[in-house]
Amino acid sequence: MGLTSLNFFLFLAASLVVYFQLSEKYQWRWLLAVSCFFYVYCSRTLSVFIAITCVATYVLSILIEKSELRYKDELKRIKTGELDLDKKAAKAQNLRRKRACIWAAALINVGMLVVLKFWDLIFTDINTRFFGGAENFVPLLHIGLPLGISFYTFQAVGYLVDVYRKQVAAEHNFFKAALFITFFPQIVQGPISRFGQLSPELYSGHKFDFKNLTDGFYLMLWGMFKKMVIADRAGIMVDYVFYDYQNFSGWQFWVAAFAYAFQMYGDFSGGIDIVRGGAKMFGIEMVDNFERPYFSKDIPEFWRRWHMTLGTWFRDYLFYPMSLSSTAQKVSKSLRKKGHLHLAKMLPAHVSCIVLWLANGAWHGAGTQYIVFGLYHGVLTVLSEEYHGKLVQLGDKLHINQKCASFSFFQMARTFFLVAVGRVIYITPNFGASLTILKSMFTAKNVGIFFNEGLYKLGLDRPDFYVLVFACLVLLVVEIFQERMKIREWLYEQNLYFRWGLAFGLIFTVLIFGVYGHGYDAAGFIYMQY
Amino acid sequence: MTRKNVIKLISASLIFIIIFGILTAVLEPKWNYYGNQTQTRVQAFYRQEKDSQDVIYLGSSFSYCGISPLKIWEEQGISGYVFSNPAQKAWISAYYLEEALKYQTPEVVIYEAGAILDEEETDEGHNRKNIDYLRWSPTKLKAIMTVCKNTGESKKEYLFPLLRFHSRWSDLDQSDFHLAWDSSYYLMGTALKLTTRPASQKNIAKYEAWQPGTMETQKSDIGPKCTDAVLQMKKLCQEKGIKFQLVRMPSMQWSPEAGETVQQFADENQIPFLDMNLHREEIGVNWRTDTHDKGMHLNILGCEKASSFLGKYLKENYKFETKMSEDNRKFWDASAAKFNSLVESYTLPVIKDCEDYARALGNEDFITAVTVCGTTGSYFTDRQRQAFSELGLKVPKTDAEKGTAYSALLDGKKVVREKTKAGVAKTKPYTWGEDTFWVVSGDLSHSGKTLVTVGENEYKVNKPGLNIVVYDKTLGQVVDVVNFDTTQEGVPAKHVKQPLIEDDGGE
Repeated sequence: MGLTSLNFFLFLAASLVVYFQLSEKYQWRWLLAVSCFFYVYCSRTLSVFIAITCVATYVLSILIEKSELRYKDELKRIKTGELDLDKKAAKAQNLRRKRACIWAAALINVGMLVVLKFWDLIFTDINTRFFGGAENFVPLLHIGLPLGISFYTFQAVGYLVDVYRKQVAAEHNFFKAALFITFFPQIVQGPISRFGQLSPELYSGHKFDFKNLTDGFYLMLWGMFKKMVIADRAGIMVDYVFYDYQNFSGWQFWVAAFAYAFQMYGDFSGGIDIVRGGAKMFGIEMVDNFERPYFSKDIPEFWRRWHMTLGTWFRDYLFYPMSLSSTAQKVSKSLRKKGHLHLAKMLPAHVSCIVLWLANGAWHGAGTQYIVFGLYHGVLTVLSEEYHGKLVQLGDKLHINQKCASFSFFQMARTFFLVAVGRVIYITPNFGASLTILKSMFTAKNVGIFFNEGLYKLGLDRPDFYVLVFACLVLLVVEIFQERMKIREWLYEQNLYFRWGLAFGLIFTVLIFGVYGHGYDAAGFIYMQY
Repeated sequence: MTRKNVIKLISASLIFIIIFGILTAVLEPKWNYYGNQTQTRVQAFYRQEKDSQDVIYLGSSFSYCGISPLKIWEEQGISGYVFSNPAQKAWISAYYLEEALKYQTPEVVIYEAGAILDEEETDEGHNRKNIDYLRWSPTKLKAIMTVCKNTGESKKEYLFPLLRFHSRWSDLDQSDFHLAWDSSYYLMGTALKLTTRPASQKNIAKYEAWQPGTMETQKSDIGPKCTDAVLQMKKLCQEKGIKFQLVRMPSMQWSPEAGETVQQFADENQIPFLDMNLHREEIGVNWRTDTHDKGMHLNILGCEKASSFLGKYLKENYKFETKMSEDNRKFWDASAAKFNSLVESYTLPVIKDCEDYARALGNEDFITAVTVCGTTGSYFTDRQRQAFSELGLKVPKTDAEKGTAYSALLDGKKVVREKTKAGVAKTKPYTWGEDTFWVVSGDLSHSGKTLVTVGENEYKVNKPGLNIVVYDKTLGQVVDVVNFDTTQEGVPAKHVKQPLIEDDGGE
């Protein structure tokens, strides 16, 4: 049941109708029921894995909280003399118990994710290389990937860490905890929500609000435009060029790389808009995941605007723990003693950044190209953080106005270029092919494709190419407005005829120009495989 | 929800439905080809006067290629409609009959049995040609469910064709926006197959050797789906007191054993069956000229013959009391005349003999321009001259050295312009309707000036010998341009193909 399928919209509509018939007390139960139905419908027997995650997360969160309560009780009893135990020892025991729970969570949840995602990939490679056949030594699992396993795993682990850090209280109702993990709009591709933000939205009832309905509808419509008109159309060109890359070269790869940039953005942000719009119809606010990332002026800013919930997840649950760990503190201290003040300040952050990006790359896939992709962005981020100040000084010395619109545009173009190149690293199934493509891109000579109708031989004929370009321009204009105002609020200030004209225009643009149905290889969302 | 919001929601839904409907109508393929208007055939059926059809003809392409209700009307006064479409399976024909009987109460329903031995489902394109333009009704829904069940195709794409055809936006042309009904349609379901692709002599010999009971091969069976469908058609007819008949048009895509299989089935189920392949001598189909696809289907010439035979059969075996308004009768008469004109016009391009051609020109419906380019040469025979003179044309025997310019114009059988001259012979203009005719010819020194102009169109008829341009008044267009090279032995004919009607060639 894809997010742009008719079945999904019918399912959403039916869920909404029943939701608002129920009293607020029962609404969250209904959400859980439809979420479970949705998941089982999509994943069938693989649903057992999300069930394990729900049970493990619930049990471990309770155990973490119980450990903390036990520690508090121990402190009271130590104070009153009832318990003969050192406070530090009690604290250490508490930390050990809680960490054991976190490790158990990592083992179970992240372990399942790693095994299901990478076992067959890695051992197919090993078996083939060293034992002459894909299944000749280590047996493969042939299980497949449960829907949204990365997203719900990260969300569950994030919840447990938040409980561990006492940022949120553990949810004592198993079914409510399960709803947080399985909530159906977000299960496909996120966003990765925080318990503290999402749980009040999920568990409290909502009265029917027509504005929420229309708000959600507009958001979903916009998401469908980005996904079906832009992303899926760009995807035709991307597949055509990069999967048959031996027949293309130079500027053809550049055009396809830029198309890929729009495909990724349209697909992912479009899907998130549909998810958030669907949730909004229930009255549930979900965090946004994108903030017009192609307007970023440097790589760090790009990753603060792109897949924001994953970025903050990595920051809060990987980056900070690593960079603020005792090992990092020791290294920092040692460097400070030797007089390397800047290095003492930045090295833990930089190393953590590289490790984080390697993890990010691995999350995308098991091949060399994903590791290189991670390294590429890790290095760019470190370099940007390291040399940003120096570049600003250089610009000042060269009397370059770094606050004007043209310079901002240059920065955005530069960032877009770097991101587009970075994606080419993992666009093909093997790294060697990616290198061949990159080499061809940087020695491009066939600029004639822009003048001899070569643009219409990259998988999209002329009309489709024009639609893609025009749709991207519409996207650009809307996002320029979004940088300056809340566009939906502005829309509500307009007359009904204008709003309806826009809505109908968008609906029929999606219906007519959307890439779906017969003859289109309109598979699901790209990130659904994660 | 407040009342205001409910009204907004309903209004928005209505607007959505209206726009959706318009876009569907624009983006849906029109399934109309010049030689086979599959969409119009269905839409025109609904526009027939209620209960005015004596016969409903069902089936697949064999029916609309081989049956002309206009021919049968002209000769026997029996009205009918060919309510069929390409590759139509028996089970779809049953739905077509169910649909037809909501609007017509014929005396007879004829099912053309070309598809009766075929249990395989057809492809999506053919299914859509059959189903898409039926009016929305439980019958259409049943047809959709059946097809989707058989083929696994998407029901929602049949229910909402926009979902299937939205990608046609880049292929739209003017005809897609022409949504208004074309009231000029008159063919009563017949497809105009105006090309000839002869069957091979080998296949003709094999066909002519067919005799029932002489083949030793096993009979084939009629499968369960087709059996059920035909019996369903019979039942629908019986319920309304309508007679039901099986017919097989002349076709080389048949065999004696197929005929015997169907005959046996018909006998077992008390359904009359007319296998026209067994009456081929009486019908007189010429498989060199009367087929547009090497013997599988008839073309317009074969259709005329087959329809004539079928009309006689119907008259002899059934009683008809045609209920039709006077205006409709006039429309049928005019349509039959137009159809005849079309057939006659089509006959011209296949005539290779100069004398025969001259005799075919004596048609009130033609305006004929005759020119001599350069010279009539030494092979223009007296018989040929005589044939032209019977039309009133004095085509000269021209001077061997200098040649003679000769230009003439016939309106029907009347000579309206004629000029013989040395040098250049140019007639005065002649106007008929909105078209003006000029005829110019030149002798040997001026042969390049030979030209016929009809309206804004010029026909460079400057090949040696006789050059003839024939204009059909009913069709309002030039239907043939031919050169008879009287300077060569045998007087070879060369016809320049005119866009009488484009043929899609296949169905």
